[in-house]
Amino acid sequence: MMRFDEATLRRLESLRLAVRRAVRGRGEGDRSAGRRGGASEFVAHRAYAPGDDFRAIDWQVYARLGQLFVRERAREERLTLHLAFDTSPSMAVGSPAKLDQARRVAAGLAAAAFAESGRVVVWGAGGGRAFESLGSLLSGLETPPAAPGPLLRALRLGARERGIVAFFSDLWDEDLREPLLASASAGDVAVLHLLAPDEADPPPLGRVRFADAETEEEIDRFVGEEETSRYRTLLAEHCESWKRWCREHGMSYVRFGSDAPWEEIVTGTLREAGVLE
Amino acid sequence: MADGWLGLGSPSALWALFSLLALLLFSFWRPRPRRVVVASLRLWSRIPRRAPPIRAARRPRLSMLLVVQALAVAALVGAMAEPSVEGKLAPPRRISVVVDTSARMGAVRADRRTRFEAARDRAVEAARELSHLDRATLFWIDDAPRRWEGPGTELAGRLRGIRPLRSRVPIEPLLRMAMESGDDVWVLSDRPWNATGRCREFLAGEPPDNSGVEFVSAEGNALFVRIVRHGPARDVRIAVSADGREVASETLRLEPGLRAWGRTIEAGEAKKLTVDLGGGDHLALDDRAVLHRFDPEDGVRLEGGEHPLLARALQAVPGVRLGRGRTAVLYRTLRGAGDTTVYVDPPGAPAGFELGERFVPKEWSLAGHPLTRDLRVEHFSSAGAREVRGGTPLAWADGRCVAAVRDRSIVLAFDLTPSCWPSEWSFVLFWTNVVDFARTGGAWRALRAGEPARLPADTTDVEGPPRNALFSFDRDGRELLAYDAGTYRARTPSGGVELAVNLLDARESDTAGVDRTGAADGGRAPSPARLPIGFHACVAASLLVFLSWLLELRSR
Repeated sequence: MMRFDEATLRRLESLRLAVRRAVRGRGEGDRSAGRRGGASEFVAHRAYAPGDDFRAIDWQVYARLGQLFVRERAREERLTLHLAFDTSPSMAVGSPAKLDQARRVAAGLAAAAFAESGRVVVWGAGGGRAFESLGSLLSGLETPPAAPGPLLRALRLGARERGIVAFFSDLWDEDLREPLLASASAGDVAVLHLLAPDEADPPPLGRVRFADAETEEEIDRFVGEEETSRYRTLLAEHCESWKRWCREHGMSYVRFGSDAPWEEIVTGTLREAGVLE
Repeated sequence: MADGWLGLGSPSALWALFSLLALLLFSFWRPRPRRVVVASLRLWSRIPRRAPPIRAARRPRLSMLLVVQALAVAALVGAMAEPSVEGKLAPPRRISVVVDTSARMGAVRADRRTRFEAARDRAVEAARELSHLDRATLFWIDDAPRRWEGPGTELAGRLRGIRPLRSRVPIEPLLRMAMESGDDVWVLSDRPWNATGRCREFLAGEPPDNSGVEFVSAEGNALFVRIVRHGPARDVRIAVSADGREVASETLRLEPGLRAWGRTIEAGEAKKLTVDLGGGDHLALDDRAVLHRFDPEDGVRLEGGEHPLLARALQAVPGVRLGRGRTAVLYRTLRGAGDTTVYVDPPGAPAGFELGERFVPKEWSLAGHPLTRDLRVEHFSSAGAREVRGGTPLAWADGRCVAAVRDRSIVLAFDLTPSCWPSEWSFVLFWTNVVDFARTGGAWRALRAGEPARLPADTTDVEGPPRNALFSFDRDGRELLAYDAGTYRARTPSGGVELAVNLLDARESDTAGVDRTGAADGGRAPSPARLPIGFHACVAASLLVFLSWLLELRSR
């Protein structure tokens, strides 16, 4: 179970999750949801349409212009943070393991969400499980392994509240793109790409037999400077393709190492990427 | 091959250097590729497979590990070749150390150390100069003569394990052995000995201050005490107790030297007489002497040859009553069973003994035994003697035992008639010793530390003082040999009796001593020699093996 020291908690509380588009929320929280038409904060006027609430008609405008306009207000909504983890065997490769780092960063995100009265839903094989406090969440982050594709599809179908979808993965599975697109219906999607140090910058290993953590397929290679240089080029292309794809589909993309300090990722990298404000 | 600065005792061992080639060949060997689990083969599978560079495959990997392993092998081979270098080396010394464990060495000095501790500390300090190449032989006596031999560096530890006894210890035999076995002899004592002119002395004496009872005897109601005083004149109170009841006392002005003191006492039926010297000094063991009176039982009988002076000699012994038996002359002190028999030049071997061929003795020597107490060896002579085998030796002639004692039989296997000995005063003294040795009852007897003593016939066992006392008890001969002065307990069917073993010995009371430490002999001048360095090579090889293990561990 993860623990946060007081300084880290205070720093996390100062953050805000950025929501770049309107999300649909059920409860009312500290956040201005951006959805027009509700009570609270005034946003803009629009022409009256049948079915609109009479109480929203701005009678002063009507008196001035002779036309019915409705005052649109952004409703104070409670944020929902959906956390989904790629728990495939590849996430356990590397030191430190990527999945452990993912859970630490997720906990940091959740702490920020709880700080503004949000709620967090952790998605696993059995569906989503909502948490209202950080204490209960920390014990619920250990979800049983589940294939990421079906998990994201379950998120799309099961999410009752739109919010932010934070998906942690090493993105070695190209088939994730379609379920990721589907999950966008549950809110803003932030793709958090994790790489282990040896994945990001492998050393010259000499003669090695690589074994795939998921398929157990093996290939023999001689890894010298030439090969590591070629690998880094390919990895850069791989990451760039994911970044481009995310941008094209309105998703945030953040890449970080499994050995990076998780507090810095939460309070620095994610803020720079716009996931937190 | 030791002509140069560096020499090798076994140069053929260098052939083992070819093992370096094996090490080199091993470095060519490539283990199967290491298995590395990766998250995905997606990128690695897009990298073309290629064979390792030829230079990497065929050239030995010149790694730190290989260098260290090669050095370790070279060091081991070097050690096997028994390398040596030119240098100067003092030859190993052989030192024999004789330790005087006599009771007077336990006397306390002004610095609160005993004499033994003071002498030992000086010797321990000197022993620090010894190396592990030096050999030390240690001679000392506790319950028996002891000998230890080992490296010079262990001498100090051995010396610390030795303690002084509570009896007199003759170190002359130890000195003789030390002279024969060692190049250099160290002596730890409190006085110079005849042979110590050649020795390095560690003598821890001190200005004397001791009064001691060095002889006590009683006959009937007559008590005789001989007191020795070392140091300035002093007033000392002497008190005599019979079974704990004081029967006489007096304050004496003791001048340096010997002083006799006698009294007629009313001991009644008392079993124990105690003589105490008051005042206290730094050797308390001789401040008290105890006499015991055992039940009467034994006598003395003479068998074999007779000498005209023998009757006169025996008549001079206090308490002896002269009579004649049926088949032999019988000298009986008191009637009883189990008489002590003295065989003088017997024609046949008494039971338990064997006699050898007759020879003309020249060189005589005497054993330390109550029967030879105070005898002078120069008084002995004889026209013919035979070797005696069996029993405890009393006297030797030309290295052969000519007098011995076994149980209650004493054999003098030499002719008295043409001898000068019967005309000497030590002849009378011998028979006095015989009577003292034989009779265990009827008269007062003092038990002396370090000398055998006969106990009552019904004695079944003896307990020592409640500390680590050294003593032995021969049940058959009822002979007690106690090395420690102190109180023992003899068990008898009727209960038991306390026995006080005294330190009656003028030599032990003489604590005058000498305090000096012989100058260091400086060892021997170093001479050119080849110093072996194989041990250093072994150490270097061990370190290199350890280093290669660390490197191997790190590479994993």
